[in-house]
Amino acid sequence: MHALVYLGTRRFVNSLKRSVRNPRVLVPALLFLGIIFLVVLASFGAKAQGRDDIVAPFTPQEFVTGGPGALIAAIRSVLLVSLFTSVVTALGNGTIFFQPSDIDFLFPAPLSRRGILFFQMLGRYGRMILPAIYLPLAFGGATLTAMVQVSPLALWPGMLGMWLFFIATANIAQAALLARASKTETDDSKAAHRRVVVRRAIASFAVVLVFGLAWLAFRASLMSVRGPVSLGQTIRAVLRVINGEAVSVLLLPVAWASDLLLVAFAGWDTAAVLKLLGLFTLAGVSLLLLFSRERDFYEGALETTERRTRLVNAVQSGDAGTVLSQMARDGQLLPGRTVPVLGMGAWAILWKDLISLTRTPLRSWLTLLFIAAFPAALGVAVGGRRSELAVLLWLVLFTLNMANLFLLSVRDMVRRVDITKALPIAPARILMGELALSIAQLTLLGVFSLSLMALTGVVRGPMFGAALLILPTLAALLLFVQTCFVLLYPQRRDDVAQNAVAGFVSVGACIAALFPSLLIGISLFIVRAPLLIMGGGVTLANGIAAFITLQVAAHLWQRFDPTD
Amino acid sequence: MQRTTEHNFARYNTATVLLLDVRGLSKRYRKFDALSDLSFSVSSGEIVGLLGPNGAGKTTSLRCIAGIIRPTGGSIFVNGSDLLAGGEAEREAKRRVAFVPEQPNPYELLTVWEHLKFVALAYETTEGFDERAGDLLVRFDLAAKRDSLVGTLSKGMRQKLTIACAFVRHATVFLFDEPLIGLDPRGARELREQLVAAREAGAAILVSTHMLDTAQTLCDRIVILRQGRMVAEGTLDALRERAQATGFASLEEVFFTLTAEHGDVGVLPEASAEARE
Repeated sequence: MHALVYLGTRRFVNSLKRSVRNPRVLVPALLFLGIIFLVVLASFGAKAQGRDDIVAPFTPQEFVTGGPGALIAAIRSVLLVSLFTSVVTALGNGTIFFQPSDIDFLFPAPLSRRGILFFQMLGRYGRMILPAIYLPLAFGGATLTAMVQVSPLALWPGMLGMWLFFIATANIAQAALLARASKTETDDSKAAHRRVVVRRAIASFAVVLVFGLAWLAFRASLMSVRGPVSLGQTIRAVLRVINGEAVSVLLLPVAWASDLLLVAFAGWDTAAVLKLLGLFTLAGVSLLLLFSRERDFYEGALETTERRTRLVNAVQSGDAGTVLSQMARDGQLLPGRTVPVLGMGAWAILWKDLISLTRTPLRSWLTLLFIAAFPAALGVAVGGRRSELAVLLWLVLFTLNMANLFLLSVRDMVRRVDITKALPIAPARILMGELALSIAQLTLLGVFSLSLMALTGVVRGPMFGAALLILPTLAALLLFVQTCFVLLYPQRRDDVAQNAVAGFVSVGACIAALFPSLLIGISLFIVRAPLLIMGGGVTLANGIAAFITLQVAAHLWQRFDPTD
Repeated sequence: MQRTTEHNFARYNTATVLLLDVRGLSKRYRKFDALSDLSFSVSSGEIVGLLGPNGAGKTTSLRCIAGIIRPTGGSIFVNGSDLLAGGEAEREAKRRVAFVPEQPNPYELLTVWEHLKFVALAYETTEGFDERAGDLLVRFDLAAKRDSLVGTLSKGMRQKLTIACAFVRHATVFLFDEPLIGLDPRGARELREQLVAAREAGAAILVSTHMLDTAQTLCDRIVILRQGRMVAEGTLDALRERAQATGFASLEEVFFTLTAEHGDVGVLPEASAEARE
């Protein structure tokens, strides 16, 4: 254990030292810590000021009796999401992820398996403290503490309760994964049977959890009103279910953890002490459950680590070939399909990307389609309320976020610089060849999102048309801008700091690149121009900006030196 | 720091002792047999080469012996301690084994010195650490990098550090998976010298390699694997005899003959039987 403590301490200290010496790491870290600190400071500031001018709508007693219940419901929601995430984790294929160094140096060492397992989980427990501290402060922060006149420090039992709950769910999820991944049995059929039983049990729990709560919320929503359901009514119904008997009785630990927040307002009583003890016991038992699988984790960890390390390295360095071959190894790739040759030169680049695309299974797109469907679902939830501004904002944010996912081909191009730079094709055409499919995919995702919004009545005809008009050039512009940053900061795999800085700066550059179109859009909006005209103006501005950015990217590619 | 002439090894045994004993080792992945009934042993003062084509099961064997993956069947004894028994017996066995994987993956956020110290702590061999570690740093050209973070080292230097980590503790059984790949000529020579010194000090060394010329000059015995099974085992002369080769045949020629894919994998079925005895 001495060695593990030494390892953990030295790594932590060296990491801090390295961060302090490197401004590219230090600045983002300070920004992040500053934001966290400001939130806490705001809570204390609100408490110190007293804020007598605010009439507290809820008395501490009302919090105890669960009258408004907003805080409790918010925390319970977080705990339920955490529980669901753990269930999804337990249904996955990987087990605990160790660093390759751990496998090379810890696994062969004469250290106890429990010690290594606990050491690894300890890092997770440490990372779980942050949300456990931050979420109560964020949800119950400045306003609430001002209203009910409690110090943010009084929220500590609630934070501790959340943390213990996170620990317990993480332990149980990992124990379930290890039970499924165990390869110690010589009897294959027995092991396979156990894997199926464990998986079905977890899946059943997930289905009951999600559909049960959804059904209760739906019923509560219908029972509360007659006629169309408004957003407020839906939220109130969800709050009722989360604060209701189902969660309090069936998901007792969730109720214990959230109820401990009430100690801040009502003080300690026997029930609160018992709840805290209950959570401590649950965390302890879950750890013992995890330890009971100690013989299983080396091999599962080895597989998970090798697979994930290979994939992460490939994605970060833009090695699309390795990503595809890993998918093929995992049985996730469709058999080869032929694509007619499109032409010579840059068309060959596009043809190569198309072949890769045809081998990517549809399920790889499911997450993206789910995100794309989100605004339509939200629109239905709020009763089909329309907001042109919200749709435009969604369009920009969605495209901005998704653009990064479609840069794999550019990263691949950079990684294979020895081949791609030697091609007898103009730089701009190479970039267009690499990015054409990404632009098309990004546009199609946007069209899918907009179509769903149109079908559900969230967006009307003219706005729909304008948004469709804007999409292709918007996608092209954002992809070209981000390509510039791939070329400026190519060593994403090796340098985390460079990665973070590139991310920060490229978002800023994207916003700057959108500025002309934003200016034109606002001007046309002020003069009450028709939406389609406004869409055309924005498209033109984005198109010109995209063309200029492509030339900049081509210039960067021409000057790109992999040894620099 | 001046290069010392003495090596890091205490003299473990003067008489030949069986330090690594592998019996009936097998490893099955679902329907695939990575290792089948593999038996061999390595005695003190002996270097054994583990040869075989890609996918023969060399790395799997080494990982089983290092205690990283659990075999489906068989037994592994290190200096008399049962590696697969769990608990203190497993830890005692592991204390005696030093494993150098093919890909060097040292902890990037430790300095070179801290890394050696961590390994010494993990293997509870801190006595005389400073002297041993200092000597190894000089031998492997890492003295100037003593306080550098591992993350700043080149791949070759990381490989040297990983090898130094194997020698910084009092291991009696050394497992090397392709140790010469990535080393510069000086590092390769130093490693060979260290291996020979370890052998002279009475250590048992198992080296998996594709470099047949190195295996021929360095190893006392050879174990040849194919498709998870042992196809031959013995000294080079014994292998020549089994392969019905001339007395001048190189290990390379013998290797290709013995691993040729004609008929059953047990080209020489008597080899496994003899090895098991």
